[in-house]
Amino acid sequence: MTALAVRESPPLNVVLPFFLVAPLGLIAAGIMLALAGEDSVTAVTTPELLAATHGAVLGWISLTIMGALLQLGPVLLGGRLISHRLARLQLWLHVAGVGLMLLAFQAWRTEALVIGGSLTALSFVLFLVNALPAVRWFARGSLVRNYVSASLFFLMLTVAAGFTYVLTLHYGWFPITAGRVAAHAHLGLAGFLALMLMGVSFQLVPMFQLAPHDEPKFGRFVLAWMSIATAVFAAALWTDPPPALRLVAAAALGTGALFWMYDIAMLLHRRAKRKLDIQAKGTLAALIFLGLGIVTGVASASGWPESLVVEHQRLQLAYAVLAIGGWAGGTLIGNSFKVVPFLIWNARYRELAGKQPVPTLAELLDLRLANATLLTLCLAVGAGALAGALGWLEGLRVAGGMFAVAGSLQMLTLVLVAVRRPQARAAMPAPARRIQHEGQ
Amino acid sequence: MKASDVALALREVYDPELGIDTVSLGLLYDIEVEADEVRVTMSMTTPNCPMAAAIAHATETKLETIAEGRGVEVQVVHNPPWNVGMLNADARKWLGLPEN
Repeated sequence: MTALAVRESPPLNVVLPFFLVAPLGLIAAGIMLALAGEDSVTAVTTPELLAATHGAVLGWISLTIMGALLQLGPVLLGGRLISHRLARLQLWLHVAGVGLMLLAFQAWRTEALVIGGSLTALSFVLFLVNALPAVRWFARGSLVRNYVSASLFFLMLTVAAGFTYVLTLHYGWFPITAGRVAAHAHLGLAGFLALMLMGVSFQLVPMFQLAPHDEPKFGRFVLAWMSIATAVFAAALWTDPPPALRLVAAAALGTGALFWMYDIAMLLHRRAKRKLDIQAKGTLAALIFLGLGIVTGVASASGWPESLVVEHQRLQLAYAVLAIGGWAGGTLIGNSFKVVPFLIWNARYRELAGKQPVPTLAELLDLRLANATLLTLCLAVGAGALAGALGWLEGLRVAGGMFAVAGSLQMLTLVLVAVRRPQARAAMPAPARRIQHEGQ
Repeated sequence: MKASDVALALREVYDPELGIDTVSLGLLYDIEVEADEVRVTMSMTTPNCPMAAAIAHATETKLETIAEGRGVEVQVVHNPPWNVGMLNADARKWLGLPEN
């Protein structure tokens, strides 16, 4: 009998669909970019860019985060979901809502946007209701719990702001200025997304890379700093502040992200698993794109160069591609290729382990496809950021096509993990087995 | 049956994420073989390891196949915490770490 409490994970058919469906958001975002009109390189609020951004963030990234929290909360922390049926319902509600939103953005149909936005907002509420009890089981005061809680708080603010804007677009309650759009975007990007990625990385990087589990040097400082800076920045953006104020707030956010980068870089530096696996590659790519994103984001917030408004808008586009596609994308792809094999292994091989040789997690993954996915994403991010910064429409459209290919490859790789049944081969041979092999 | 027999058998129980057996990883802290029971005290490479329950279960299953009718107990502890210094030479090589 084991002394360890066996933690109950949700059934595979509850969590796996979140991961398998999520890449559809990236595919949709890529298609929207590929369809971008000429004004997309001079303004970041065109229908195609709004559709692409929401496809990537609400579809691809949010669904992956939802799947990860629904699984890892109970497994890592012993929490429980309120209802598995609710999780299944919420997934399809989310897919319908986001799908309708993207079509409504693209065709600029505000009545459809109200319906799609309502379904999506409801999906987020149901997710929070279902997942919060699992998060509550995090050890009180633990770093990861604090990051995830802060992230979910900003998610609620982002959804509330976004839903209000959707209704305002239709009913004309108040003007939606560029600053107010940016406030909503930063609540989502710096509040929900950044804090979630930061907190989850503090959990997953040491776990998968065998790095020391000491508390990161700047972990608590970054959380407090980023939370305050995000709230202040979003409030300031709401008033369409002068460039100098935007610059200070953006620099504050960038500084927080730099401290986090230092902590993650140190974890990677001290890892025992020296061979780079897909998660380490994804994390390294994500760090590089985040560094570039901080530079372009701060430059964009400064309004530089002031005399050329077009360039300022182009930098915003490059910043969005680097932060969402590069940082979040690299992190998500690297970790999804770890978490999904874990889900499959746990469901299929757990009861066989100890009785017969079973495949390792690495054997469940087609490594060539996984590497191709990450490489395609990185090329798409590079091309998209460059095309955005240069105002090169054709380049942006090509990058869109590459994002769609990356999403398709990610989906194919994950589906193959679910359906393939590889032989056990790659594990380090035990001496007894080695002697037997050598004797044959 | 001796503790060394148990250790040899447990070299066929793997950490599925790392592809390294539990003995080479240095996860086994203690093995006690008594007349009516086999007790193994082991650790995991990380606290809150999502594979902890699976690895402990596989260890228990393996023990049952060699226990010759004895009871089996697997206890997972985190004190002292596992560290890289507990890896044997084979595991270090597999991970790409330099030899001690």
